[in-house]
Amino acid sequence: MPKVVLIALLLLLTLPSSLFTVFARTTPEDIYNEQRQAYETKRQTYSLENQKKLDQYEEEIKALNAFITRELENNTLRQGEILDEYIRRNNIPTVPETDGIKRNLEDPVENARYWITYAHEAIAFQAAKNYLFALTGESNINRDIVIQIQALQGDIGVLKSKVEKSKQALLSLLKK
Amino acid sequence: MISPKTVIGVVIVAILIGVVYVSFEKNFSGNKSISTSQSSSAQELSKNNFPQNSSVINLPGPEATLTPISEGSDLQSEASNLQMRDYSSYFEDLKKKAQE
Repeated sequence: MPKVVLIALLLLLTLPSSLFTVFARTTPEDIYNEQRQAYETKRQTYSLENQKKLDQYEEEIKALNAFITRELENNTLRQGEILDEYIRRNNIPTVPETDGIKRNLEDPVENARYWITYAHEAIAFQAAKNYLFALTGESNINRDIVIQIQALQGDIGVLKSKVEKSKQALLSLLKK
Repeated sequence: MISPKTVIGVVIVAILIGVVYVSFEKNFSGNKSISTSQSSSAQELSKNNFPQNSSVINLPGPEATLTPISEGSDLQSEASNLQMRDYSSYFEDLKKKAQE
């Protein structure tokens, strides 16, 4: 029997380690890091002046995203406070937590809660989002930067509509 | 000479070791790929690196603190007053500056 174990161990040692990596899950951060690495490699080929410009606008996009998501988060937190006060005033029993699939959205309280939570989660996702420039050449640097600003603008537009939807769900509850 | 019994034994033990290794990897590796030991969370990166202010465009300061919702609050009016700023001018400014 020890001979069997010894041979099995030797067999495993001869297997390439890449076989094992197949089983480890690739996470979104791994994907981001991979893209970041490719971006950095390309960025290094740019002039120092343009590298600085890229860095500056990357920070600008981050700052704008952080500013907007902070404001929208405050908005949804306020919506949550209003809903909590409404529930308290009307002695509405707390609905036991569900798995997120079996929801009764016909219930206006649960409907409002659902859309506020949905908007809040979307804001958290947006706040953590990174915008990497797709570098297509130094002569296109301005265009490449503008494309990412537009991408952020589009994402913020979608996010605002989610916050507006949660507000409308709350308002329709309060009007009843 | 290795007997067929030994070969079957080797295969079974190898499979068992493989199963133990994979379950260990799934439970204790923190979902990280073995080959990317330097990977860090994109979320942490973005949260930690958020600059507080823009130097190219003028972002307004933090909003005034709202009074807490209390028993006397008019909930409908509080909800109606929740407005979102129009951010388009910030985007346009940033695009314009980027093209300079």
